[in-house]
Amino acid sequence: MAPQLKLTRQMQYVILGVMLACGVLFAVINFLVVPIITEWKVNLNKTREIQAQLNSDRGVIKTRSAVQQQLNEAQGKIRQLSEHIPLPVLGNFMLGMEASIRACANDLDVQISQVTYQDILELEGTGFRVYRVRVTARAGFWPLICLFQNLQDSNPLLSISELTILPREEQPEKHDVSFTVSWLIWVDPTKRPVFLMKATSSRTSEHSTELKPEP
Amino acid sequence: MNLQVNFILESEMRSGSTVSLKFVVRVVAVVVPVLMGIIIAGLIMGGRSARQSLRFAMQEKSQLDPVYQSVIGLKQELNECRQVADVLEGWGTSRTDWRLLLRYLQGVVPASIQFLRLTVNETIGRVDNIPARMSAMYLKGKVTGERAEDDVQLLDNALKEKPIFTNLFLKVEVKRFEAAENVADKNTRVFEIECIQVPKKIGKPKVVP
Repeated sequence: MAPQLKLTRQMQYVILGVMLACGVLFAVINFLVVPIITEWKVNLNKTREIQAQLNSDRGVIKTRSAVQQQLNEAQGKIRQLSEHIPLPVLGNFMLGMEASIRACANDLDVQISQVTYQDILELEGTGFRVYRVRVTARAGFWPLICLFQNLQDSNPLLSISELTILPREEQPEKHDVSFTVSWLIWVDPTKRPVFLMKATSSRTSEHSTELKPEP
Repeated sequence: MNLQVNFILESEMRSGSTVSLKFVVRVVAVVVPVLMGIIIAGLIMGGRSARQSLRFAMQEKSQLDPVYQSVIGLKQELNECRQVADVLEGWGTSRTDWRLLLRYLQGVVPASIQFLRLTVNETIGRVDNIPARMSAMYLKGKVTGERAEDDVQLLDNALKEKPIFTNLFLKVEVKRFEAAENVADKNTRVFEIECIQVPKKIGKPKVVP
């Protein structure tokens, strides 16, 4: 004979209550607690990431004055050296260059017979080109060394290359010499670094005020 | 023999325990929701606090960002300026010191040697992807006398071994040494020496920020 399972009304209420409570608990956990915890975790992780980013940003920001100082130094160095980079006069480089070469040979026993344009070399990826002129001269060994020294002293960015020295039978103390003088020039002088343009324009404006005729 | 007669109906029976099931159910019915409420309130508070922290952090980041970007801009400008400065300096420092080279060259040439030609070629190439000056010096000369070979060797050794030249030249080689043609003196020799200079870099490698 099967046992008779007879629930009292009270027990039925209890079971119903427990079932309802479980349902509510499930709903609360699923729709309230879990989203809150998920959002909390996401927010915490994001906050941690941002804090780490902020810390590294603060580290970078702290270097600002040092970077500014280094930048000023680098710009100062460029400003100083760029004064030796020839700029074209009405698109012409040669006139000034020939004059400076001849000026260096002035007090020396060097006869410069020809100064001609040779070529322009590209210095890829540097923003510069090399303007080269060929010089033909007649000189003794020591005057030639002195000329080279004068040329290189006159401009720290001037260099001498492609040298040929040939002896002369009829005048052994003098040689036929030809060499290349190279200058570093801007690829596009109008696209020089902005701070150089500012310096030039301020210098120009200073000059223009200096040159103003008196009333 | 004992006989127990129970006249109480099952529904009328009372538990002897001090904690009744009804009491437990009532306590659970109150305590569990309260605990749940406390936990949920805690979670909501925590979540709100996390959201607020995130908002503050984002606010701080948005405040710092322009300053940070300006510093990054400065750094970029610094790198560009350094590259330009390096090229300018490199161009200057990679020049050949002619006074030094020619003066010392004259000093090591034996008296019996007469140069017929001195040529220096220079090209701008790339070393480690950096522009560099690459040059070579060619000496052509004649030497007369029984010690012609020794004198050329003397010059060759001086170019190979003197510290001033070892800093300048990567390789020194006698390319030609032979009897001179069309010369009356049979002891006259003609020689050619090639001196490959050490490549000189113009500038430094690019710094990746």
